[in-house]
Amino acid sequence: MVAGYERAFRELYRRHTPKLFQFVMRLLGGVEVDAEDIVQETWVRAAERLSGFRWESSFATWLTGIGLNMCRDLWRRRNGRELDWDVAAEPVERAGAPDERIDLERAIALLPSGYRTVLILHDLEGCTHEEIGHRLGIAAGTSKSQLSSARRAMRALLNP
Amino acid sequence: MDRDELRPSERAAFDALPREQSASRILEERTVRALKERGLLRSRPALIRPWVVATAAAASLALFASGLAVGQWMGARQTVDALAALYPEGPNRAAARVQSTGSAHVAALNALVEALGSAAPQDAARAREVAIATLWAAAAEVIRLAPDDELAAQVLQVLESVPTEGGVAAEEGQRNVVWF
Repeated sequence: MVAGYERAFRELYRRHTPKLFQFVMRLLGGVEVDAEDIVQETWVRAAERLSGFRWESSFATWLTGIGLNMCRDLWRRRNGRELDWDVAAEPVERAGAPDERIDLERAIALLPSGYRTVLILHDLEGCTHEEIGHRLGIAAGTSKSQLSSARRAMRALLNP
Repeated sequence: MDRDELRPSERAAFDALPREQSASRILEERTVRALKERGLLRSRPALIRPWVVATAAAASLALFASGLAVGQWMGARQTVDALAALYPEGPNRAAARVQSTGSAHVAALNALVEALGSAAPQDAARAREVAIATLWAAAAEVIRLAPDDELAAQVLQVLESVPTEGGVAAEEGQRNVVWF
């Protein structure tokens, strides 16, 4: 294992953590304590695997990919499965704040983890269904159908 | 339009969501500590030794000729530089570093041109020597990389015919530039 220098790491950390933190916070529905743990573990995992990074994608994309996998690990440990596609399995609460941006953020946070993940990857991160399928280990068609369901669920939360 | 597609107002709302969020400083310290505990991170050791001081003094002469170049280089450093500082270079990372430092080199030359506007003739000659020596060294490395590269060979041939500051055409190893 190769040891890196602290100063260079801090520069890298400060450049990429704001995006990673926002991405993980959204995936986890805004639970800050969990998001901080995931960000820390993401950097540890990234440092362990950095020598294998092949420059075929941007460093930020590679890092958020690790963050996504860490979130899936967390869901698996807590719920016994990685992604929850069942709306009824999680509490649904009408977002009540008047500001639209906050409403949308809250609606995303209230979605089941599976819907939330596909919606974030597609509508916020700009991933294709093929990329989402590859990242989540599902078929591209499944990603597409789950995105449709996620958008319907999101609209139901925003406009009951 | 598919009824499940995002409507323009929804697309706009998604686009308005922030893409970044600051994490606490405590998290940075926690992360650094966790990496150190796993042996993945260490502080850079002090390098103040006599030969380092001598090298730095010699380097300062070349630094003078380069003018604002170092400042621009510092400003232009990107992720790839930080990564390269963290870990040893493989071919891909080394190629990315060449690309990055190439950009810095061009920026440095640009700064040098601007800095020479009011320079004394001897300073201008020294600066030209530094610039040509850099090109020469780069061409020489390309020859090492690809010995049959005709373009690099021609560049090298032309550069070796360029007189040095002392008025003599340079041969390998004779250019009086301190590398650092």
